[in-house]
Amino acid sequence: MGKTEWDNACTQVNACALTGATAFFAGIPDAVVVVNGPLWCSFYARRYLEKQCPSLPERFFCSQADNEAVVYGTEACLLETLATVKEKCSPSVLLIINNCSIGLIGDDLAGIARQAEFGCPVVCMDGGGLSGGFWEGYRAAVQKYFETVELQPRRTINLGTVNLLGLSFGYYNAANDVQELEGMLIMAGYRVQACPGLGTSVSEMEAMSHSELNLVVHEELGGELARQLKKQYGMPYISLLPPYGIEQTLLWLKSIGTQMQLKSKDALNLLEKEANSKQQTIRTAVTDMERIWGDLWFENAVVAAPASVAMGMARALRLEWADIGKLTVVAHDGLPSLTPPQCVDSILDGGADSEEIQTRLRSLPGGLLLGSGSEKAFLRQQSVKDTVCCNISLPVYDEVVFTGRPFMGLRGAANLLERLWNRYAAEKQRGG
Amino acid sequence: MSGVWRAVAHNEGAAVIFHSPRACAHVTHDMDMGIQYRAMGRDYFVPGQYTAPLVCSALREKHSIFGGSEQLRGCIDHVVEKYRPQYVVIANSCVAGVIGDDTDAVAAQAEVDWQLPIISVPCHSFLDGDFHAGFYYAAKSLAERFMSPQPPQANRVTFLGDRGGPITRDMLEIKRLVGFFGFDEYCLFPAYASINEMQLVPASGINILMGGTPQARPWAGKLAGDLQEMFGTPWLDEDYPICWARTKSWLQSMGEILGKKSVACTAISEQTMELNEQLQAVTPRLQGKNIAFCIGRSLLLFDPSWVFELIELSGVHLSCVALLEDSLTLAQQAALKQQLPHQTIAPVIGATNAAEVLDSVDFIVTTHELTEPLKPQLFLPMQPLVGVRGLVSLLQLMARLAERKGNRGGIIYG
Repeated sequence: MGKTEWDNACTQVNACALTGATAFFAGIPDAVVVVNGPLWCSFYARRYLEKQCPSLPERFFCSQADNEAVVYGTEACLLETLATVKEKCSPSVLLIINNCSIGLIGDDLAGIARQAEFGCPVVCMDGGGLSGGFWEGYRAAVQKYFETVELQPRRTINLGTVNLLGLSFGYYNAANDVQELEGMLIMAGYRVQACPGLGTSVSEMEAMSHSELNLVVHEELGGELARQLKKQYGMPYISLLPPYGIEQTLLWLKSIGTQMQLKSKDALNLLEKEANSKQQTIRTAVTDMERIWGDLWFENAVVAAPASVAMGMARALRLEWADIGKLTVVAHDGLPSLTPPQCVDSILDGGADSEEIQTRLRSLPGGLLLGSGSEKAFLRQQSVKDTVCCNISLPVYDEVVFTGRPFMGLRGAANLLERLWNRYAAEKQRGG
Repeated sequence: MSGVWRAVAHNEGAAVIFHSPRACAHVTHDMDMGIQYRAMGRDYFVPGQYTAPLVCSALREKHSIFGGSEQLRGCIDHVVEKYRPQYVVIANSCVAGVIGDDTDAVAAQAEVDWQLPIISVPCHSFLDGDFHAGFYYAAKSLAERFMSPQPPQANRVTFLGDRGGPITRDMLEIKRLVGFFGFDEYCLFPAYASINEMQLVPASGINILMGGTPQARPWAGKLAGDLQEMFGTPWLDEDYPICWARTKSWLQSMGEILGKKSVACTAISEQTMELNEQLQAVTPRLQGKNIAFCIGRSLLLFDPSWVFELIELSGVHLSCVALLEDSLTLAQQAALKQQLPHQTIAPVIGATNAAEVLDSVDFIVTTHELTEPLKPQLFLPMQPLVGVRGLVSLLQLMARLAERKGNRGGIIYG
């Protein structure tokens, strides 16, 4: 049977649009989110994000609209919730978001919000579950935000500054990754002005129009914004796969350099030196491991994550880290708009190819999975044994990360290769 | 919808359709993974267990204008053709409810066309209740569809509710307790049951409620009442045995309803011995300890009486009951302040005013994870554990907390 719009959700990895929208606002300091809907919807979004963004619960509220509100409107319960928000918080920006069914009854959110008289920008939107999942929700929130909060006119350009677009707490290990990217860009002689959705304040975002370049880290989250900012403010942008692996990181930095007016050869040389030193350390350690455990070889490997992560990670895996017989990429958010790297054997749509995804996962005994807790759960259900597994994407249930180790960049490359080898050796000792 | 899903997710031969936007299915799948990992963490995960395909009709904006019935029919046809299930269960979303789709009619027509049970569960997400409502309506629909009167089997019992599957600690304990009365054949309903197993439910000598919370208990009772009306199966009008007083009373009630009072006496006596033996081992480890009990769940969701009994049996001193104001509305706080003094002599105060007391105790038992103060915490399960062994396992956790060295705080989940 061919592809249809009806696929088994048990192998899909997605969340609701309300969660995606919340993820964007969660990344703005002191932003407050009010869900206009039942507790269930708000509780899910909160749970999904709070591990990555521990400050979210104290700035996250729910109107607890019930079936009566569906009939008579949500004004009363929403005003009550907004009063609580005013009492407890001083929001830098307020998002009021309807869940799917409340969105259908057509309450005037902006009008209700005006009655509450907040002194900050108020963004009102429908959760949008009827138009998609996490990624659609994130993009809709970004669009609404930039419609509501205008940027400063682009009269001046601060040479050497960049904005990182498409970042979110909704991606695994994102906070560590952004620190690594910022650190590397500084070493390369640049400065990061803003990372909308991951730590940049409202006022910092207002000034992002002065940056020289917009750099899209995750195309599926930030590509649309980059194109919008180009259209509206004439800001140039570049959209690349995220920098996983040492060689790919250097290429990433060089590609950025080609777009920037300020070029510091010395800074890039310094980074290359750093990369070479890391490479040497890795080579020595890996050679020792290979002597004992053999080379890192997998007949089958599946890399499952949001498209940009999965493709970038698959490229580094095959070109820098391991030998793979057959390499499959599963894009959780659907087939990507960016061209997949040539080194990927096949790419599957995480939202529509469940049967094929299950077949590939069943073929992983002795293989490698870079993915999320969902694919891992399937392996356990099916008793697929001896698979080396590394978490690279949410949801994650069996791992904590609090050492600040990134996946991206030079330190990220070392971290991921370290994880791969350690798990490979552990699996071998378990009898794999 | 998640209640409907949990009712049939692991029922052999079932397929589930969510008549909803896609996101509802994603959210439910996510919830299910959490359950699977918890099962792995607690050693009751069963690899190879059947999991129903969960397919979403994928309602979109255009369906909110033109209706989603055709979309649903397409989805039903796809599911039947692709998965060849023994039956299909349809859960309705709040969106389908607001749009006003006639899911029952679509299901009925599809059933005629496919000659296959296609069951539309008559509730629409939060518009018609909570998780337990969906769970109940799914169960009732399955009973009406698949059950018929059977000759009774004296050794068969059915557990109505879901405690995480057939081999969880709670299920093993309840099976042990009903074993006193000669039951050694079990049905779980509605979850984890094949059609064949469901057909055996009416043969049960008794139906036992596995509710566990003030929310779940009435729905489980309603289901038991329906089954009695349909098949005459008696049911024990008490929630499952919790802590000690209610375990005793549950065993007594079982003896009465089954006409086996002497068996109940023997069971109580054996359980008393077991409890005393365990208390002798655990209570010295807890002697002289001061604790606080933090509550952030309303009385509608949580009956704290078993916690007070647990605390009393443990022999620790309860310094205060602190109400977590951030998690409770003013009305919920007022209700707790009115009710709790009937259950404890400890002062009942708001957590904001209890900071000093909370700081001074050895550890805290709590319904919510607390970031402050940095004290060892026992996180109370939403559904209390079953029987004496459930009680003892919590006492052992309390003893571990009492003996925790250093100032690292930390939470143990009960």
